[in-house]
Amino acid sequence: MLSEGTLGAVWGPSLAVLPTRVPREPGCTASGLGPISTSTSILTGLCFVRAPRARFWFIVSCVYVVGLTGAFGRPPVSGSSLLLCGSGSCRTVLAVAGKDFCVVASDTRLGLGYSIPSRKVSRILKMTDKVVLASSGMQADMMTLHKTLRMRLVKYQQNHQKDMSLTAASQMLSNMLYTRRFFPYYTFNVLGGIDEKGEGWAYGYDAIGSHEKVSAVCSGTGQTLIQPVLDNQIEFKQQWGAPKVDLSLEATVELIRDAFTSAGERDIYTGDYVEICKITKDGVEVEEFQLKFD
Amino acid sequence: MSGLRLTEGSRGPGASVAVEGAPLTRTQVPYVTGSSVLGMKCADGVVIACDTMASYGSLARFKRLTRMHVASPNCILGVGGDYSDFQQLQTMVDAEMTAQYVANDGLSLSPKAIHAFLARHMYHRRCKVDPLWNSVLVAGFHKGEGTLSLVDLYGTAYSSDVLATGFALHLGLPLLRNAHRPDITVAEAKVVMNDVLKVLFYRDARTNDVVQLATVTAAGVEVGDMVKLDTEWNHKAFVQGARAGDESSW
Repeated sequence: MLSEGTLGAVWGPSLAVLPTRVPREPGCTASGLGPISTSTSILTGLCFVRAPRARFWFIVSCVYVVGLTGAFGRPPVSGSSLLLCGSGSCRTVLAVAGKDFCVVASDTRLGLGYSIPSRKVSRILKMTDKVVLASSGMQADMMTLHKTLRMRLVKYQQNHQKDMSLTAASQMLSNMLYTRRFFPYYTFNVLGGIDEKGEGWAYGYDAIGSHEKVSAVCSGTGQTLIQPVLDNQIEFKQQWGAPKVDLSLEATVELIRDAFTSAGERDIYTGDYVEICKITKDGVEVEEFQLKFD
Repeated sequence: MSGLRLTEGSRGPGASVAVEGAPLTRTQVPYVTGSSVLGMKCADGVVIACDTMASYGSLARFKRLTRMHVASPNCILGVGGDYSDFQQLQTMVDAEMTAQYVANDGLSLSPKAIHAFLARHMYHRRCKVDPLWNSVLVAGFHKGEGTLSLVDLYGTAYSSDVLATGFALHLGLPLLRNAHRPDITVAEAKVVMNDVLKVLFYRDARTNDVVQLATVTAAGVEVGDMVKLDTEWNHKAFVQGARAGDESSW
């Protein structure tokens, strides 16, 4: 029984998180507020699940409120002020794969409502010399995920005396996200790298581990602006009969720079700097590119 | 919602007392709160600054409280948000530092480690849906380099040259960014901090005019006295109102 309470307004699509301990009434579903697998850019809204036995409202959803930082003395939502997620907004991350290389990029702005608390917060994790991860979404969840991933990678390396392959890393990430199926890491990941055959590939994820192997993917607030361009310029979608041209590394990086510059034009959460990781057989090279500082 | 209503209804459904079978809930609204904290990294150290008031809703409840805590000889915390949660943090950090001392291995937590410790704890508490309602600036000086980082109630953690929390995120941070240079000195930054605190006092209704500055340099932590700001109330817009001469104060 979601949204039954009149305790707070529902502003938009919510991520309903049902704790396993709360008894669920028949017909009680989370899908009334939108499936988790949609990559909603920013989590908004709040919802309440009623535990019938306890007859108490149990707050399970995460609440994002613009203006949270206004002042601590003023609870930002009347009725309920339990705020969990939303700190450190989604930004833009993308991965583009070429024949024998992959490029993973992310901007470095930390946006919070209409404020920019910091202009340089990295969202990229170099997993191995051939695999790089970039995460958009909640900053605290991202940090935790990256920290746990680092531990798992070191353990793998020490157990097997080799670095994890791209395919193994992509599956491990999915598994780790799914372990928090009912209290997700609010992160939207893209993974890129070179596989054991030397081919470049990109992987796109949702918050709970669903993923697909593609040649170009974008996540975060700039997703709606950048993904169509990648579909057109990398995948040649809907261009029947047109020859598919493999872009060179330089041309790909140039396209990514343009994509971020364009997204920064309209998306307030994208800006400041882009970190562009070029993954080739020789390793990872990071380039920094400046965007608008507004 | 302005201020704090003392009727039970205002506490919200989550703040109810433990009833059999009900989920136990804790801080879902901050009560006694501190406002902004400012921080700036300088060439020769780090400066943090805040006022000394703790409000109870719109009531100026405590007017001479320190919102800073010396975590180690080279690390200081500046805390905004719920004051009792701040005191809990103090206890926790002190306990950890004592545990490190008792190990007697000659090692102690660096400012970066203290920041990571706080970040993990804050994130753990938010995952329990029982957050410590604070944002914490961690200023330190270690191995010849200053560090300035932030942790908030979600466990969000990052470092920057200039940082501000609470109301100062809106009103103070742009002023700090304009004033900051990589070669700015601690002495210069202290002057900047005083100016920004003054601006905050003029416009943030949860702030008082008695402020405290602290520096961390190679010489260690130095917490300043509580100082009364030198304020000026004869500005035209203050005297004649916002639309004086049809020039908006905004």
